[in-house]
Amino acid sequence: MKGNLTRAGLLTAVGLIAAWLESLILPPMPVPGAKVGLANVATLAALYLMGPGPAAMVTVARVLLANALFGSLASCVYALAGGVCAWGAMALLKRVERFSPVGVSAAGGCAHNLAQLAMAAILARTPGLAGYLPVLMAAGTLAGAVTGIAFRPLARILGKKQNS
Amino acid sequence: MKKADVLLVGVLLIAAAALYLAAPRRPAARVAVYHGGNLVWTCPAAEEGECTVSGVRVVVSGGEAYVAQSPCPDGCCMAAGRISAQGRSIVCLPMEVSVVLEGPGQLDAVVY
Repeated sequence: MKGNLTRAGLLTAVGLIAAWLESLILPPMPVPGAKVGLANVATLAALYLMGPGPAAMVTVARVLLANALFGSLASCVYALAGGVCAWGAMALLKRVERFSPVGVSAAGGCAHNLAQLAMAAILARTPGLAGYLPVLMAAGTLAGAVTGIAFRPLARILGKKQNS
Repeated sequence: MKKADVLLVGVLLIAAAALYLAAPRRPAARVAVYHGGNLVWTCPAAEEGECTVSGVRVVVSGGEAYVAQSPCPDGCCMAAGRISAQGRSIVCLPMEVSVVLEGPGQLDAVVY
């Protein structure tokens, strides 16, 4: 599709800015890997405006770049697992066509945190991490819903640009 | 926002709450500190103790354990605060240090 590369680049940039703002504003979370995940709005927007394929590319690009810029190699593994799982959950739910972006994003946030926790359980080899599961699930779901609400104005702006 | 959204968010939150309530909470018997998956330090939870593993200072005091100091960039482990219930843990991913509150019957080590 014409213009997809431009839009994918634009959305990757949106994701990076969101990740940067988040790292600036928010205090460290009490749970490893927990984030508001505003950057997920880029994946969400790519999914709705372009489809699952470009959304996967935007996700991987923004996660790799965000971690190269503001994170570390160690955090990259977790972020990538989270980002890819969130993308999978959201692509799936969008296909069902029963949910609005808010619900899709909430599921994505939840999947993101579960994937990060699973990754941490594997890499840090600590079964005790299971205690974080409920907190991370709830946090991911709520944060995802907020991201979904943030998506609406973004979709309006990007949707308009497409026609001009 | 659709009805299905509210339902989905509700189900996920209720599941999380159920998991949280279902988890048993008993006071821990001992505090174990792991570095990269290896047990490096233990301390009975009822006693006072302190250790530093790859820059992460873990303090055991008054039946609670917490990370007092860490060189990690995000400071998650310090923000985790004090933990006292069995099965709880504080993990510092960047430094590969985890503090686990263990129960009385737990094995010292498992060899595969």
